[in-house]
Amino acid sequence: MRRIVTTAVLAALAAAPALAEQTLEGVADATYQLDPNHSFLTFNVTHNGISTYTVYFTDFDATLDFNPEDPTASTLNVTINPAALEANYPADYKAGHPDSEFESWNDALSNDDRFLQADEYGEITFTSTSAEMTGDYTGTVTGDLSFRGETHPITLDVTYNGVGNVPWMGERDLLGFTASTTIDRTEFGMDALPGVISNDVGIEFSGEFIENE
Amino acid sequence: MKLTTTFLAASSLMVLAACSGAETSGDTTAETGTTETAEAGAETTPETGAEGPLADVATATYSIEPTHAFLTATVMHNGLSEYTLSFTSFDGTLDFNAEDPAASSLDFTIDPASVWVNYPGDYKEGHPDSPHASWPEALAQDETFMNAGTYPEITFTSTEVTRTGDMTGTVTGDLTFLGETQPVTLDVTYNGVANVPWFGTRDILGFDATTTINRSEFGQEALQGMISDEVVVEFSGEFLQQDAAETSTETDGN
Repeated sequence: MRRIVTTAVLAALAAAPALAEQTLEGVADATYQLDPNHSFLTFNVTHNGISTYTVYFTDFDATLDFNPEDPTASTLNVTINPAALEANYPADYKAGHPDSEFESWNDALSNDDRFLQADEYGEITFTSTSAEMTGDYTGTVTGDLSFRGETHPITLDVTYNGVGNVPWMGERDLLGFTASTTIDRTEFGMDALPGVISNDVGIEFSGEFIENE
Repeated sequence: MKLTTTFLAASSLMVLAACSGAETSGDTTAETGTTETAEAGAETTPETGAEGPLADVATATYSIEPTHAFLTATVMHNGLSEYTLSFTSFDGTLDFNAEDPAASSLDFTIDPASVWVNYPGDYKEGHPDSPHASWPEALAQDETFMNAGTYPEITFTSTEVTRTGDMTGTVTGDLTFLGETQPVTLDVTYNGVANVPWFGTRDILGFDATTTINRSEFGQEALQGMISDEVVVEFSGEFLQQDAAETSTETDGN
């Protein structure tokens, strides 16, 4: 295994300058799955009007049916586990919140009725309904976001970062994307701590999709 | 209600931040959405006089409020995606001069062993020969990455502060990482001041800061091409005015 890794790294280094290219030429028209080890999905709010508070989702999946000849014909389905959060809370949560029913700040964010309410709504989903190109490598993806029992249309601003290939994935294409949107949490019935936590929630993604075998 | 007034005041400052923040948002994934929440309070809050948005801010020593502070380092992976590492243990001391912000100073210490990254895979299965127990541990301890065993601290000491707008400035200082010390310049936005009941009259200041470094300048050459040489460092967080009486009972407000 070590030999494989070393070979792969050497091959990657040798191929480094051409490893990825921002082009749609030659990209496979195929179904792609999220690469969870190279994908980041966060939400952020403004705290007390003075700082950006960022929380990571650590368990999510996405399937992309990608059409490089006509990217607007592509579709995207995303599933997010709201019980899998990481806020990197550095203090002793139980000491600071002796009356809390939750074990940790991550647990509270996930399961408190005021927040993501994961115990009641075990999935957040996004299903694309339309896509538009706004530039050679940018576009919007509109779809239905279901969160806390509410479904509302949202639009993602998407940048296609390019296609790459790595030796250990053979011919399978890797596609990189960055996406962001802003939602109003009150539209999904979450109105706790107004003023302390902004209604606007920024959502940011950067990650890679691997062509299915 | 006093609290509400304070938040509205802070919100109006965010509008100013939105106006001037454009200068600092060019090359990062800046969360510009955070400034949009403040518009409601904008028209009714008067200017605060000659000293502008800093008129009510204490000239004092402030420390990082660790439960409301985020520090990340982001590289491009394979030219395809932004790969973000979070530092989970760091501290900063800010001597803030509200009358003359350029006379302020900042000292920051980061524990490289505290790095966290979202890695849902089975690291040991995929890396059976690795001496490390997890991917975050490898990033922290591997000699080709943060080498925390040899260099257990990353430090930043400011040397010069320049004001570029009502709410923006640059902070230049010495960054020491992997045994190398190089000057770096942070683009900083002051987001406003808040007060909360459980901290009494102690001011809480919010800042965003960002800079881009070349990791090769600090001797980190591993996986060039696969991992970009440029590393975008981003901070958003709060500094709490130190309590002279040392009687604080710190409790999180959420």
